Amino acid sequence: MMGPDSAAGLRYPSLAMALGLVALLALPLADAAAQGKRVRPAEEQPEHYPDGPNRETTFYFCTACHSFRIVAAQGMSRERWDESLTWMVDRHKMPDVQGEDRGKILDYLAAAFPERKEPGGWKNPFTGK
Amino acid sequence: MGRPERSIDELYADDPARADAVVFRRRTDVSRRGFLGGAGLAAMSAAVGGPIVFAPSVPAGLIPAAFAQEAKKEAPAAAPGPQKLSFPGKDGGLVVLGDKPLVAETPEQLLDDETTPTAKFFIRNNGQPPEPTGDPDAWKLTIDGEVNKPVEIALGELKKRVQPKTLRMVLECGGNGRSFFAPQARGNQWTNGGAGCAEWTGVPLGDVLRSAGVKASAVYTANYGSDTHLSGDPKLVPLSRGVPIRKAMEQHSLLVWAMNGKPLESIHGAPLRLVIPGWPGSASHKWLTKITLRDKVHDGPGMTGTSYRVAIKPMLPGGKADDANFKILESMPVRSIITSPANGTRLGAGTKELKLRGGAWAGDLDVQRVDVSIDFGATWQRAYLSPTRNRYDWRRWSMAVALPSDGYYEIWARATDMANKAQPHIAGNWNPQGYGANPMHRVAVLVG
Repeated sequence: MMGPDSAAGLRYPSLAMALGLVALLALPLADAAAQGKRVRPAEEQPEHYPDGPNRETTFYFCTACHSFRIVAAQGMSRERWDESLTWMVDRHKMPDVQGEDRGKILDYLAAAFPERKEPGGWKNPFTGK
Repeated sequence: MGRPERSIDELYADDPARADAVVFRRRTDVSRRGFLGGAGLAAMSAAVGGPIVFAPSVPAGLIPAAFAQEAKKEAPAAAPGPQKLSFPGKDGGLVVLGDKPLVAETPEQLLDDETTPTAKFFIRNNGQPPEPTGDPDAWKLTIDGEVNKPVEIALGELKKRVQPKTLRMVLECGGNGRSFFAPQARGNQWTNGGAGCAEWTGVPLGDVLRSAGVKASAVYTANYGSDTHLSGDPKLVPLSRGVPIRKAMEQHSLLVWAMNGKPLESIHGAPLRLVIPGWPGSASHKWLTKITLRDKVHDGPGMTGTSYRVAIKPMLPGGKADDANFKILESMPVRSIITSPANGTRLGAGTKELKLRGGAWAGDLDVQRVDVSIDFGATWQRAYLSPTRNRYDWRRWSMAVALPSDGYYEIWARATDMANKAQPHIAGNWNPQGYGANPMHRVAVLVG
């Protein structure tokens, strides 16, 4: 059945398994297309993000106002993370955080989401680079 | 060997077109939508347990629901990849940039319609949207500040009093293109999908301001809506931006209650919003309740510091910003996108011609030309531009390019505005919050 796709199956074993599993189901595709159904991701949890000291502290501090997805989408030096906290206090009236707590949060952010060597934006879709 | 196992979810999240190619040998070709052919169609049909009657109309990258559910069971509890939007009335192909506040962009290949359907229109919120109103006509708008007689008017009354006009105009987030900055700029990482071109129905804002009697002292608007601050603190305003009186008085700056011929949807600002075309979308306040005319440049949340501002004297990328070196971003820069084919499209061996389609717009200006290169900018070919319906409409562009051989190509699109400004190769004029990035759009295709 797979024909030329078998090579892809080898490279992506879970994919081949998924294909096998869904072959047992009989859901009309047209319905799925019409309703635009999607996997709804689970609620955010600290465990979804890079492990490291102060992850939970940082997660719950940030998510008091906004989703952590937007945090994880950033990549900045510790200095720019520090500026960002200040900016959130100024612009978004975030409760100020100073001293030891600020240090812990910055430690995690700078370690988990450092400035990226490769910027975002465009990636070659065939090589992923 | 040693390659990490990937769930179908991740594969699709990374790049739907490529995933299609891998999973089903499905190609998003020069036709308007992706289609299935040969072994791919057979494989997908087998997977869903029956023939796929409407295969040609299944958009590229769409995961059959049955498939997706299984994929979820397989997915490890790892960091979530790019997340597709699940929201009533919205296309599932939109990509979520943030859940709270809800922000979602439209991948370029979904901007392939002449008029962007509401379902595909991007979402940007700064605060928590209000509960949908039960009685739109009772919605009140206040005009006060530097006016002779402050006005409070119900939307129902406004609709009765004026002859509405409908204009097709681009609305674009001020941060569109931000992800192309290096080093990374702070904020939602938009590619080119924080834009759309819809038909907006309403009344010129200037007509309503005039009815209140604009004083000579008025220089700027201060716009307020009923969305609430993310912290939940009712005393805080999430966003309040404005525009100079001259921009507010333009005939195309509208108070809007309908989008694409239907009443505004709540997520797009129902029952009443502003559309200030050509300028950052944040000036087009949703759930509009009040416009205060001020005798100085507005200084509400989103007006000051480096927010919706760009550097006057170009700064070192990644450097520390001096607020005094920043000016308000007014007109958005020129931009073009390739809406077909999608990035990552595979074409059959021997394909000699590729039909291209796209859109282009330029803030306050019209687009003078769109040029396309398939050889990394060594040579350029001029695209055909469709006429515009009205000012601030986008240009749809199209052309066919000859492919000299099989192989790897990148299509680059470059628009030039009426002031002879063209899109640069990379995002320039770096600023910490990442405004004004408009590098050429690139789409990679593999032939054979």
